[in-house]
Amino acid sequence: MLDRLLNGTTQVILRVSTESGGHGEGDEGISTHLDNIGSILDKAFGTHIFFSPEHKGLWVDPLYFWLIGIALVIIALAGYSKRSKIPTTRLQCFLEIVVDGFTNMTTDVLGPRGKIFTAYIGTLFIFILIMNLFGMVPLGHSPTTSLNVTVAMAICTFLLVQFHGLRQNGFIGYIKHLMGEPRWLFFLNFPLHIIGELAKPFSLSIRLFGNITGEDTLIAVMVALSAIIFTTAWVPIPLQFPFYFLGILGSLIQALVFSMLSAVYIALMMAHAPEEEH
Amino acid sequence: MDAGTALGFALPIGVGLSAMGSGLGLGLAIYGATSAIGRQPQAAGKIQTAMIIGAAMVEALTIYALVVVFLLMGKVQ
Repeated sequence: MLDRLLNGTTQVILRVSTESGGHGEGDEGISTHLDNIGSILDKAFGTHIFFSPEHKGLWVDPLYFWLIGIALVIIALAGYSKRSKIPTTRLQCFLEIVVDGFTNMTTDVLGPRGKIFTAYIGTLFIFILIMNLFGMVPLGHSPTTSLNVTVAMAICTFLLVQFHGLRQNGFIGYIKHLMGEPRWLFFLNFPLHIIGELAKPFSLSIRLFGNITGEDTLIAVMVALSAIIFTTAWVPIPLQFPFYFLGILGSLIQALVFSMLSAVYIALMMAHAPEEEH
Repeated sequence: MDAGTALGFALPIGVGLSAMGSGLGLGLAIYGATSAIGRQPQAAGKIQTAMIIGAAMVEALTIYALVVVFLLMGKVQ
């Protein structure tokens, strides 16, 4: 059993790949993925639903995405009670502290009129944090190592920013915002601002994807290295242990950066809105 | 030298160079943040948040280089 586990980590032919696919034949190498529930099920039944040698597999990321999402929704619903104004259970008190923290974080960036965005920014933070951390749980896999998930969230942020920009400023105000400050330079500013708006979801998604895949690959390679050392020298050293701290820190920072940057982009769009009080 | 071998040279050098650049940028950002905290310690929370966000944006540029490595890793011969 133990040496089958070690063989699994040192002999599985898997490469880190993105959804652009297109890898040729590969050679034997150390694996860059750790086993999770999906890959164990695949090895047990011989199917290729979750993992396959060519690419990372079709259903492992949606599986964990949905699992984590449904678990978070269940936790949130368990702490919800509309019967009394004073929180009754301990879970509800904890959730209210969390929501209060997110409200402070959002109104710091967006001003007191930004309280409506607390739900979106807070959801982004919690969801991305739990998804990132899930990759370091044994038999877990973080869905943010897939570009599909990160681009989906970045597109949600992009659509929210543009929609709120259009709604707050009106269509004329939105075009004026894209045309920039010295009005006679609009032919330079307009393409520049459009490219800037398109670069924002691109950078959001690639930053999150790259950081979390990097941490995941680092831990997997360290585990493979420990397995090689164990099979050759019979010395069990958990070489991957210090990198878990880096992983926790990096996951926290990336979740914070994604949500705060979404808030900052909304604030930038709303900065040109007609203010009632100043 | 064909493209596969050239990639084998270029990819690690690319990541190393962008790591150097981001090291300089992060050093500047953290220098500014720590000086600001030294001048006004009661604002340390806000300065720390701003520093973390700025550091992540600079770090993202190195991550772009790493993503290019992931994309091209299969073509290295």
